[in-house]
Amino acid sequence: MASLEFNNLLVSNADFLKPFAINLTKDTESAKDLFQETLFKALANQEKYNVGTNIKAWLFTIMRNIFINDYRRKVKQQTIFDNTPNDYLLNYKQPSIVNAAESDLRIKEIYKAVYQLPDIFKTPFLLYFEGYKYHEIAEELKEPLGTIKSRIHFARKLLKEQINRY
Amino acid sequence: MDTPQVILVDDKDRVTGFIEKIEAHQKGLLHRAFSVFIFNAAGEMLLQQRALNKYHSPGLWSNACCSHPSPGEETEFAAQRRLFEELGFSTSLKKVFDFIYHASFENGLTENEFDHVFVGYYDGKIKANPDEVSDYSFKTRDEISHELTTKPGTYTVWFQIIFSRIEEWWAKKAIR
Repeated sequence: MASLEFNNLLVSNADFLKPFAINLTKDTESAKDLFQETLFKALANQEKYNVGTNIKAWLFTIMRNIFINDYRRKVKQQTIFDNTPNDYLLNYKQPSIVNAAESDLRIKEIYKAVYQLPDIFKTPFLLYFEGYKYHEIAEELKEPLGTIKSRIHFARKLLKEQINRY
Repeated sequence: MDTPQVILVDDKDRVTGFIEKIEAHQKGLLHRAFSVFIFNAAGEMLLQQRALNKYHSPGLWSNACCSHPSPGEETEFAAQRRLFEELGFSTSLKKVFDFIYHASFENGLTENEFDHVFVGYYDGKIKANPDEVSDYSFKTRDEISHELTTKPGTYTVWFQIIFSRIEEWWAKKAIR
C-alpha cells in the first residue's frame, strides 16, 4: 500500500480511538499523548499492516499495548520495546474481518456486557481487560490474590453466557 | 469430589475452623451462610420452588437462593455463584444485614447459621436450572404474608423464619 494511501486510511479511522484512550488512561491529557503515540507507532510500523484487514482492531491493539507497556515501565523501569508480546502482536496476521461495522458492533456488545456485570466482577474484570496482572489488581483493590482470580474467572463465565456467539 | 465443607464462625462471624457441612448440621455448630433476596422493579420478591429431586424440602417455595460459602470463598462471591447456578442470572447484590438463626428439625439436624442477607434488583431473563429449581415467580409482600398464614406448608421452614426478618427490612424500605 502506498504511503499516502495508508495515511488517508489512518486519518479516516483514527477518531474512534479517542474514547478508548480516555477509557484506558482516565485522563484527557494522557489520553491525547496515548492517541498521538498510537498514530506515530502505526505510521512507523505501516509495513506490518495487512491490507484488507480490520485497521481499527490493529490500531486498538497498538494503543492497548502502548498503554500496558507504559504502565509496566512505570512499575518496573522497563524499556518500551523489549516486550515480546508487543512485537508479536504488531507482526501478528489478524484474521480479516472485512466488515468494520460488524467488528464495531462486537466491541460495543462486549463493552455493554462488561458494564452490566455486578460491581464485584466489573471492577477487577475491567482492570484485567485493560492489561493489569492479577497481583496488580489484588494490590489495587486490596483483596487477596485468590479472590481476584475467582472473580475474574467467574466474570468470564458470566460474559461467555451473555455474549452470543454467531 | 471432596465432601462440601462450611466455615465455622463465632457469634461475631470470625472464622474458627472448617467442617463438613453434614457434621455442622448434625452437631448444630454455628457456621457462615447467606440468603439472597431479589426484587423486580414492581417491588415484588422473586421466589423459587425447589426442584422435586432435592434431598430436603423438595417442591417447597423459598427466596431466590440460600447456601454456604466454602472455606476461603468470600461470601458475596458465593452468593453470586449460587444465584447464577440456580437461576442463571447475575445482578449487583448488596448486603443489608446479618443475623444468627437457630432451628432444630425433626430429622435430627440443626440449623445454626450466621446468615448474611443480600438484596438485589433484577428484571431480566431468568434461566432456572432444572436440577435446582422447578419453578419461580414474583410475589408482593402481602401475597407472601397471606400465603405464609394460610398455607405455610408450601414454604420451606427457613423461609418462614427468615421472612419476618426481611419483611421488617422490606417494610422500612420503599422498594424503588
